[in-house]
Amino acid sequence: MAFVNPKKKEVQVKIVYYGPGRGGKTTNLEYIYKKFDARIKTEMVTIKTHGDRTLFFDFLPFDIGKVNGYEIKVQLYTVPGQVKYNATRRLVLRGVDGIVFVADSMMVRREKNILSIKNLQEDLANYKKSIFKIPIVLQYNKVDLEEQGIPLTSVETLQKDLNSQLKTSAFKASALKGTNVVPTMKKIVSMTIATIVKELK
Amino acid sequence: MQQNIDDVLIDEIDGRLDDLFAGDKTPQKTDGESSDIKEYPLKELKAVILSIDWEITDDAMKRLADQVAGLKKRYKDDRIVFMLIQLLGSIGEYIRINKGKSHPDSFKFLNSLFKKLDKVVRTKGLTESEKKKILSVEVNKYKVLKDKLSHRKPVAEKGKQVKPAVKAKAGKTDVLPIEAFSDAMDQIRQLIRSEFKALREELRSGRERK
Repeated sequence: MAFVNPKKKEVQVKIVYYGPGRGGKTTNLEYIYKKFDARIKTEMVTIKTHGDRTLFFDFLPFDIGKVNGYEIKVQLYTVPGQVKYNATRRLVLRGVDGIVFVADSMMVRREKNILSIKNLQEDLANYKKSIFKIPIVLQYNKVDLEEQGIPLTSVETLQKDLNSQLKTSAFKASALKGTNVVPTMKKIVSMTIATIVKELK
Repeated sequence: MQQNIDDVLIDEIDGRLDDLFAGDKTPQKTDGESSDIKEYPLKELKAVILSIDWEITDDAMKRLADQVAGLKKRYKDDRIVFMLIQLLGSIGEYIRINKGKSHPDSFKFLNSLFKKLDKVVRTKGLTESEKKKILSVEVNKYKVLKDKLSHRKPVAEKGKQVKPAVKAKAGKTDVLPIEAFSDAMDQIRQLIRSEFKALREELRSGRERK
């Protein structure tokens, strides 16, 4: 449940970008930050290792203004994708309102995607949340690699692997080029706020 | 009625998001455009190098070694390409041994080598001198990396021996990556010498003909 401050008339919405390591979660946030930093007027916080991997999390907050008398503050987070940071991943998921699952379209990463979404289901269950009830959007990232001859998993297969039960919105994307990064984010923010509004009634 | 209020609210949120993130001119479709992808001889090597960039697994490193071996056979008559592949194999071997503890620059060097190899293989009409220039730049990068690797060795305390920063596991490989680099360097030197020798002889015979 989102953090609601009735006194300040403020709602904080927490969106977490989840997915296998090196899938492009941080790149999604970096694109949004680089493209719109002047408009969102906030700083992106990121903690990386020397090898450019997310060590703890990335954090990008922004306000979308007043809706229905409430100031809506959106917080985008990423989790470290590497398997060894399971505890950190769980911690970042605490209080999550919406998820973007960033899958890696590379054929060699197919199994990692499946493992990661199972991992997400378990992590959410840890907070007594269901992957089938929380707002979630899927993003099939790195489609640009096809141009370079890298074998990719087909969208049909990705849908079968990851979205056959969730039946949620999914976007083919290239976080590096910015393709469908903003539509993915807009979709999850919209879905999440809609769910929060319903829950608040 | 309630449904209408919800819809109005969602529309308002969407409107806010549209305003805030307006002006994203990034094309939302990506279509392949390379015409000669099927003929591209470095396709598998590129996939392996991208995999290594994301995760160093034994499988990926084995695939890299296999690709290097295959390409060396394919390009045995093109000495510049052969040398670049050899350097790639050497840095691959270093990463295979050191895995996540490899120097961060070794990954940059691996990617740089691949880019140059890709350029040399794919660019039609590249002259031998241009190719040599590319090789020479990569060799210089290697020298810098080699220097960094040697500085990475633990500082010796008095009376204590310094362990090498890069150490091959006994029986697993017969060439240390640094030695492999040195071998590659020697071959490059020999190549340049032989090229100059051939050039001189050609000039001499040309003068004699006149």
